[in-house]
Amino acid sequence: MSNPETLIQNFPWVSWKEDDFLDFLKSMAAKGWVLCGFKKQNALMMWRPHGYIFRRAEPQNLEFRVDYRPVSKKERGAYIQLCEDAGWRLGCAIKGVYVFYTDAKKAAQADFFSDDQSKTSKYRRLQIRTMTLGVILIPAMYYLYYHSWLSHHVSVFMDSPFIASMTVLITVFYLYVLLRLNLAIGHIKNQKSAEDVQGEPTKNRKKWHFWYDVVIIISLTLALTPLFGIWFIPNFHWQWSWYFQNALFVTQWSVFMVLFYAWANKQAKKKAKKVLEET
Amino acid sequence: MSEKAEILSEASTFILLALAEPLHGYGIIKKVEQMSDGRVRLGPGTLYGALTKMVKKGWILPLPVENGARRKVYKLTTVGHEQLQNEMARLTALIGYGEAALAAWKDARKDT
Repeated sequence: MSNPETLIQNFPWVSWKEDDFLDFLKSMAAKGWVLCGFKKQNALMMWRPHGYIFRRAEPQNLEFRVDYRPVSKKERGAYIQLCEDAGWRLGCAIKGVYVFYTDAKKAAQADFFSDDQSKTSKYRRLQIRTMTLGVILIPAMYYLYYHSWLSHHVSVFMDSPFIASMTVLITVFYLYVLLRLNLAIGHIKNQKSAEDVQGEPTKNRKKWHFWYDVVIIISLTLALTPLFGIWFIPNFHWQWSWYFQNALFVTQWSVFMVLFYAWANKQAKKKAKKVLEET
Repeated sequence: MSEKAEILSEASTFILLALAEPLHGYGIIKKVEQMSDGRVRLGPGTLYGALTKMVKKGWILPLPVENGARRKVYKLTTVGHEQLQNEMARLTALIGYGEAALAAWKDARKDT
């Protein structure tokens, strides 16, 4: 396995925070690995970090851009052709998310998005995608657990603090994604001018740590759980023991999921590092 | 004139101006760059978004493509032409106000 031509690296792509992802792709290109595809993953593992395929090339200074366009198959060809004509090559495409790249010098002259409105409308489209998922899933979840035939006959649904806590956690997560996308739009609108942004070195950019997101989501969930019990569970009687059980489940499951995520990411990084060292 | 006159963004105005003759996507980018002496360089992301929006509003029309051709050619419709005329009228009026205001400002400075 020495001297391979392709390499698979995992990296989480978070819709509201693509700068880290773009920096990662840029650093890979500087090492001589150019993005060329996306590794299909098991449907059960979709929430895991996504695998990106890189092909070996000359080390080069490339600039990457992400676009989100839920276009039909017929339209896709025309869209990609337009971008390639304008000098932006397709790196990979996953479910409407397209990653394009071009030479850094060319990107500085003519960017992928040339005005703020088109930058923000990308986030609006992402918000609509999140909402369409949530509008179907969340009421379905509440119905299934608390109003359906199932919930009246299987006491686990009505009484289980685990189900209750997961319901609140998922709801809070959806709302949080929408909020973060809104903040991303606000950030673009509030930038004074392109020069200010370009003049600012990447290292001085305020670092928003992944753990902040986890802490905010968990604490919001803990705060909203009592309200949820009052509104959605019939014949609800407040008990501290109910609340503590809930809190325990939320924390336990979040920590478990996050640790698994971190572990999977670390394994992938180790594997990739081995390949990089061999070459 | 048309029932709804919208204020166009700079990108949309330039795209409508470029479509005096039917053009495909990259042709529009080149022509806009030529018209503005290299000042306005439309990004493909911005252009594609604006084109789909204007097709939806019926301002432009994609011409039927031959089998195998991936580039779409767009044509200005009469509605689009009306929009462009409205925009030009709006901008001319704006320039008129601007020049009058500047002249008044100049006179005021002369007096003091």
